[in-house]
Amino acid sequence: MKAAVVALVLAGCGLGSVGADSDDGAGAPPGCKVGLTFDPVTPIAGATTTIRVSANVMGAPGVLGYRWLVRFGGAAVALTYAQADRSQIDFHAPVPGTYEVSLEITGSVEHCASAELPVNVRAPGARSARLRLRVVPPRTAAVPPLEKHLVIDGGAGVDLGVVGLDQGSLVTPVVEGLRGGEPAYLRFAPNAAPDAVVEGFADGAGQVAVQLLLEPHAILVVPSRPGSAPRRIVDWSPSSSVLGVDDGSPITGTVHDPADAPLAGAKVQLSIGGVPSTLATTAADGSFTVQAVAIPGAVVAVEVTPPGASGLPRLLAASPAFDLGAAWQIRYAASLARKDLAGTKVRRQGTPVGGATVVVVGALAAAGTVTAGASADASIEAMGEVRISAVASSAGALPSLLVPAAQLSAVVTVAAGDLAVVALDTTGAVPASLDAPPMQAMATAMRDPTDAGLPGAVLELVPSGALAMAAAPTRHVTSGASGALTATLAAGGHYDLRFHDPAGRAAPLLVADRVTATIAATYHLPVALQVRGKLVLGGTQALANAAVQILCEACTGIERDRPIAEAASDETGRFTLAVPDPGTR
Amino acid sequence: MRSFAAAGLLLTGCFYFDPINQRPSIDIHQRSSDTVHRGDHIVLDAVYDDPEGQDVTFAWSAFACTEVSDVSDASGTSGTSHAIDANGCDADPFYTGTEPTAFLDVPVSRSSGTPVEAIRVVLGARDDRGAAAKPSQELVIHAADAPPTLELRKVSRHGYVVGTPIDVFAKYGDPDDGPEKLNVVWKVFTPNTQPAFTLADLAVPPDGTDPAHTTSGKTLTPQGVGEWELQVIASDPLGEPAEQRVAITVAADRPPCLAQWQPIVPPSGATLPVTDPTVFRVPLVDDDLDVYPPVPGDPVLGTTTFAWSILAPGAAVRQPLAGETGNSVDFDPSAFTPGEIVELRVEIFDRAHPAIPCADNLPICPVSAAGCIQRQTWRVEVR
Repeated sequence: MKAAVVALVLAGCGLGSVGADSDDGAGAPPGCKVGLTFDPVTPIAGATTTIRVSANVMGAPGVLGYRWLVRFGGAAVALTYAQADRSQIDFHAPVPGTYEVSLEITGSVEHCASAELPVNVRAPGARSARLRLRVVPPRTAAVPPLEKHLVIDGGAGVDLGVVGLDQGSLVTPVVEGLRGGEPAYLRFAPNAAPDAVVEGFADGAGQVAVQLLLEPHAILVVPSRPGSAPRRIVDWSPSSSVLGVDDGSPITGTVHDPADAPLAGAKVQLSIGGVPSTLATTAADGSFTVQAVAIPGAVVAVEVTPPGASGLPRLLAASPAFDLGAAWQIRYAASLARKDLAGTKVRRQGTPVGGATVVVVGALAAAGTVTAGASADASIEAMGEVRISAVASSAGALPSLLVPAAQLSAVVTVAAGDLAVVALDTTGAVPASLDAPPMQAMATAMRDPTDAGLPGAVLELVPSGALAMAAAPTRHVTSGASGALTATLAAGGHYDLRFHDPAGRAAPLLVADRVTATIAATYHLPVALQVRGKLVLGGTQALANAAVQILCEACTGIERDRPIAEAASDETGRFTLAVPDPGTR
Repeated sequence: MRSFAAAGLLLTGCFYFDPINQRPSIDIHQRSSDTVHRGDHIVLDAVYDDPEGQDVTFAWSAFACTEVSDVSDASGTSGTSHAIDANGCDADPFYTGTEPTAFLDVPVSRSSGTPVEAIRVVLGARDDRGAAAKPSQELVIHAADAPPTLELRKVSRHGYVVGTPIDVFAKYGDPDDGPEKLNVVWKVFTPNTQPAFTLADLAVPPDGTDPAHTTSGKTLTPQGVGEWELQVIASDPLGEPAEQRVAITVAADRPPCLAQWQPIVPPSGATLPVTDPTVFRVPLVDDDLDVYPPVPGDPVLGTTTFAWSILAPGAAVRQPLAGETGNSVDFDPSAFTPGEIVELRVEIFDRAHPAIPCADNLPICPVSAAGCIQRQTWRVEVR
């Protein structure tokens, strides 16, 4: 038989650890140590499934007695003794889920604390899902966050057992520039878990104090002093006392408008392998210089934000072939015409809307070119992003507002929370008016997989498309007694629907890209399964009031930081989260 | 005629007469001098003396009695003894026996159901030749009433906050009467301001492992802060009481506190550089009733209310992000021009604190000396 999971309780000495992250007691003071192992390694529920649990007791002189208890769903499970001294038991596991095994040792001269071991029994044919578990300890604990990968099997809940956190150490490096200590913003990402970021600010003397795991980190340093280039320091050891920064290398170029005239006042910034450069503003001759740290082979992205009154779109381009040593030539497309919306009336149902805010948004496939180097790959088309805003007069008339001539959208904010999305075609004549329809009512209901209503569940209506480009806020709506809810949405607006149930009765559901008319009358949230565990700090101390989150494994960007489920650990360190059930085959 | 015969016998010495069989003398000896309670087990020994040394047969009878009174011992030397009125005992004995030693369980109640206050033990004896001890011995043993036992326990899942239920459990028993016969009275003592309250029955599942005790519960919902007291008196059928009080300090609903926030808040004078879309989040709110994340399954607990606002570059007035009532907002820096400074603010409220007690220009709003803040402000530099 192969031992699969070990749970050790170090009794007498006051140490305790249970579960997959158990402490093997190395370095612990002498005393009674109770270890539990179970076999088979990955039990699958079935009529003939038998699980053997063995106790290994050390440091407990005396004639030992073993008091076992196996519970499933709160009820005791029949067990048999596999050894005459009762140090091994067998029990059947016909149903998937967590079987909680506990053992008390009697007869020892040394006191032995009881040992507990969750045995997770898989459902036959279980599908698996890869997720991330993030634990953010309370601020008072001064403990670095934890991130770990999880594989969750479908069909039954799972108990992660002890989730151990490392106290880490307080490290106080100094951000050292060419002129001495530099104030800066810092992001420390452990190599082993890059999402478990610790942030800090270095003061005017460059000093920063952060609690880190004693392992190599990648650090993003963004100096606060203009002219100092942000940089990423890889494989940094917390035992190092200095974080060196410098001005980086200058990268120069020019920006030209569609008429090939120098464009002054444009903001230019590069991002090299995700590390930003300094921010430059083009001079009267369109020239700019940013400071950056080169990273060989990295993708270089450039972003040019023209002056707001120019009517030009923001230019975006990225390529690994850009030559940082070349003189960059950034040109708006000559074909890019602009129209002035001056005098266009903002109306609602024929009535002018004074003071309305209008954000013109849109995307242009080829709004310019970026050339940085002699190779063919170093000259690429840049896409354009339009976000140009103005406020209508009291009579509802727009002031002078240059926008690209294109198929665009206007997001009209009539009042706080009262928006509309209006198609705006400026390829021809400028429209005389922008008619913002009233908000539209929507009604839907949230139900669990058994079709029962989910009162108290939450729907987040996350703007997408034009609304998102105009930075429209997300709307949060809580369902009523029957799981039904109503809301008003921006006419013409697109939303992603994010359903979740704080009570964990069902799993979250994401429905992408809906308008009012395409929102269904009912949404059934998927089956949830419970993920439980216990946070233990330093092998002994239950960690209460920590934020515990389950996150997507494969997501990127902002979605990577958006929890699927979240909870707080209780005073015993226990937590429970409801995550989507991957199901069974 | 008879006198002659007698004289003849005396004179000759040849006549035989059986000796006169004397009565045995008896007494009752109680092995333990401890106070006897109803339900106790007692042992009595018959002490006898038969002048002829014959074996003696005993007849024990013990009767359950009610009416007992203390009277001075006739000799005046041994404190008190007990007397029972004629109608104070059951007609039928609850115990009879013929052995020299009687093992008795003092009954709790008479046959009528009334509590036993004494037992009357009668011991008779007769020797082998039928001579009966005279008089028969009688012992009245006072059966003391054991008082009830009572323990109180208070539980609040809501921090003893005003307006929330506080469960109080009374675990009571009685060694002789058992818990079923106890009369339990609850009484609430309010603070001086005499706020309203409700006291409702609380269903407590029986503990099958402890039949000697019963636990009952009440849910006190106080509508005012201060020092409350709950008194419980458990009385047995003889009126013997047990009293316990539990003090409850009812507190006001305290303001919610931001326990965690992400990302980091820059120190005064600094800005947080944001280059990519970022989730600004409050993962944890500390509060007595309206926590975040919400705790499911408790109808009293609610959840935090969040309000987010933004001070756009160049704007004089902070604008609320209408509809953003969750614990996070997405911040897309591309909605702004690089280099611009944006202030993003979150404020939290609970049911009792729907407003922020701080001026708008303060980046944080401390609401207690313990570092509790109800507002946090990020100063963001768009990059």
